[in-house]
Amino acid sequence: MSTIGFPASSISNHPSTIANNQGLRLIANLSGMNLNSVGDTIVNVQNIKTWYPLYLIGTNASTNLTTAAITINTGANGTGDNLFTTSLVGLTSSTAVIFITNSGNLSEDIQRLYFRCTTAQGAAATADFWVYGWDLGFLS
Amino acid sequence: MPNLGPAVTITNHPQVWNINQSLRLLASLKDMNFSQIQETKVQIIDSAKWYPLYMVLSNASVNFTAIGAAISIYTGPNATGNHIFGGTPLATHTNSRIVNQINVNSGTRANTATDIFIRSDNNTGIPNATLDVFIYGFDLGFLP
Repeated sequence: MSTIGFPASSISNHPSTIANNQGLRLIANLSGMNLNSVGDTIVNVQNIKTWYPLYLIGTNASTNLTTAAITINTGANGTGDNLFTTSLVGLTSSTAVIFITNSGNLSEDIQRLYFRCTTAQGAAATADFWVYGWDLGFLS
Repeated sequence: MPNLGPAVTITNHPQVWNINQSLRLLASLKDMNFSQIQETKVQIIDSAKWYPLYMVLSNASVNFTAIGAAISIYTGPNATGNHIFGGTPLATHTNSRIVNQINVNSGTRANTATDIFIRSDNNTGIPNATLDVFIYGFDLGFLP
């Protein structure tokens, strides 16, 4: 006799049930960002009033990124607060990952980020990016 | 047997958790007052054993540059128990947007206290000097 068990993972004894998600969490993400053209892509911040960006993670490059670079700012065309600036040369394949820490010390309350390709790859190229951080707005 | 469908469904907002095994908030305090030496008792959020990693401070009500404020956190009252953070000077908080993330003070100890005591270490004499305090870490107590 064989038994098929569903679901694959079931957790029932965890005492913590916090509905408002105050953890290190995703603030914004962009899949398949075009890295062959200098310009902005507007990305909405996910459901936070006030937040602090901590990390940028990039991966899933469509090709070996030998040239491309990006910034993430709170304003268009590289204006506002600069949260991250990085070359993407570490993204040599779809499984490579870059992990960048924000060195700033400002909280943000804007609801859009501008992911900007500042240096084009020179050939068709995309990658995925995630911004993680703290939600500081739930107390107010 | 019927098709039970995907095990995980992600809609347009991925932050919907029913469990909390993550780097998460352990405690928070809005408008901690730094006018004088005092402490505020804050309850740990639903964790039997926990490991603090970061204290995050923000939302200063005044310019803290020259008022001499400092913060520390203990698991017991009157600076007893485990010394988790501090005493950390707060002079970098020049306005409400400044964020200061501080690593744990005693880095190898799990805690079972259900409350922590957030202390204002100095007498600043500024009655309206406040900051928001967030303590993040790992819940180590959920395993049976």
